[in-house]
Amino acid sequence: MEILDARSPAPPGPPGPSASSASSASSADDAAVAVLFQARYQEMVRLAGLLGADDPEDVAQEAFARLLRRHGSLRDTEAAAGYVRATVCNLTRNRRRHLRVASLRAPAAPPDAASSEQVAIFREEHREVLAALSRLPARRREAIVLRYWLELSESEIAAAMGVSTGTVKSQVSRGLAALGRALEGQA
Amino acid sequence: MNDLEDRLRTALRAQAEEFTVSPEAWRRTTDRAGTRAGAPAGTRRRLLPFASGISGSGGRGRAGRFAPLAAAAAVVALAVATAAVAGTGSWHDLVSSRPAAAPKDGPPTPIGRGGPGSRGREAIEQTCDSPVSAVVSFAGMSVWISRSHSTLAGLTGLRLCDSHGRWSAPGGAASGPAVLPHGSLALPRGVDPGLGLWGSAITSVTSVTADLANGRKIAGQVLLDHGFPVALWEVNYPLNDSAVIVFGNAAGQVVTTLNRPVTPPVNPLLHPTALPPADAGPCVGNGWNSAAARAPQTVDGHQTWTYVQFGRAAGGGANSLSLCATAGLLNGSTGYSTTLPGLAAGQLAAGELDLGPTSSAMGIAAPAVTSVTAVLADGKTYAGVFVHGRGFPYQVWLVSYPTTEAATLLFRDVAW
Repeated sequence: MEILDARSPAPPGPPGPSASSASSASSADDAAVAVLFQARYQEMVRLAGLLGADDPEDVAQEAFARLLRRHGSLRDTEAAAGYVRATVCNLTRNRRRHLRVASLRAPAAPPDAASSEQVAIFREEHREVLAALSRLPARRREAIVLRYWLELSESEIAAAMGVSTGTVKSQVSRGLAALGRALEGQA
Repeated sequence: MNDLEDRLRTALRAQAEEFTVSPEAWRRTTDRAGTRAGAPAGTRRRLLPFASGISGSGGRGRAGRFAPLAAAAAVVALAVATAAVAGTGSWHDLVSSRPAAAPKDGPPTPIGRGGPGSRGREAIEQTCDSPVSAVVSFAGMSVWISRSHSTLAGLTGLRLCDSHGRWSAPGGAASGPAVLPHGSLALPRGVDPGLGLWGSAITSVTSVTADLANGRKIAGQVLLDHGFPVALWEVNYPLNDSAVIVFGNAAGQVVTTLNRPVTPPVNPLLHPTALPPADAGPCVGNGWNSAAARAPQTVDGHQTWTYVQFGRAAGGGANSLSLCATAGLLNGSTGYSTTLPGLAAGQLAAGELDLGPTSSAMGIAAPAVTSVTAVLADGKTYAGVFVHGRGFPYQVWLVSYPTTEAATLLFRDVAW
């Protein structure tokens, strides 16, 4: 990147055709991951956050870093996107498991005070839904988030979670039922 | 679909918007992977037809520092691979003014419709939340190109977005300029106090100069970036003077000119967008039924945040559409809310939010309006922002300044 002003010398012209020989399979893969990163990074951060990751960006970066280490895996771009999605799910699940174990050994921290921004944006109705969602078992929560936030199909959810479509159906169904009961109980 | 599913979707979308991303994310990811991602410079140049006229200094050493830029360059290189991840995309919108006869300068392959992963994205309508280019720093702003799925009529497609909260729209004059529409060599985008006039141009442009009516010439600056498919330019000259903006190339030839006569500010409600069917919920009392958009501002050293949304007063009819806002100081006072009712009647709605050490004025504006500035009696100016959110029937203008002082609010369109 550069800033040119009217007083600077004219920049060189475009490179010649000989530059075209410089490509390589690995650099093309890296660039393809970069494209995927541009298109999906924010979405993956949000997915990790919705699944309860304490540091969603850390999870998303690790998922894309793992993809970068898998040269050649972008021959099917949609599969690469699915790989990242599944990695985010797995990493978040593992991280939450780790935190749960760690919390058993540490004194309980005081709950975070809601900032005025959170108060502004999360009205009571959202808080109830999200609180009920956070109480679901991890797998059920994953299925619900992938279904109702990412709007994935059952087969895509199954791929992301590494389970069968039948399991997805039951997890979504039971998750919804649990949410319904939880919200009715608060009504 | 039932009520529970609706509530779930709404809550998830609202919470998802709270997770932000770091501008350093790509660098950290590549560091973590032990790579310096992005194709080598030679590869980028070969595959990036926009890059003609760009200095060749963007070598491998800069690839890490500006890795996101290399990433966007690869959008062109890997158009086929991108098809499944980028959804609809017409880079022709950006580069169609380039000579088709020159293959190395020609437009890249259009990006096709997304694969299964893009299904259902209609529900995730955003204005500037889907970048398809690098985010570049320019004249104190961050600028990027985003794919938009806004419900504003006719305003879907690619938009040039900036961190001041504005965006451009593809299509004709009625909806504002595209990033660089067909046939355009250079396009003004907006006017900022302290920055002047700025906009986009084809990448053979390397210089910009304002030739004033009094014979004075004022040079501006041009940003060319491997990761950006258009050049960004700005020239700061007295906006009360008529001027001809001259764009030159590396050979010193004039690429194109723009006449900039002095025109009065525009009516912010000129050609207002028709309101969609009444489907907004109440702003307050029963949850946020439509997404609230957040607008941060820094005013006289005070960082403020504002959430805005459209809603309907409980029990109200078709004319009860309201603009609702909650604002406060970052790490400071409790939020303050206001509601501007009766928007459907089409009048200029404006309200104020008193935040103590500073305050804000806000309202709605037509799509063609691209800048709002508060000018105090002593000449001090405060640039405002525009806020866009999912399903917003209007764009919302917001300008923070000491509203206890008399001020003139200037609204301008791209023709300013």
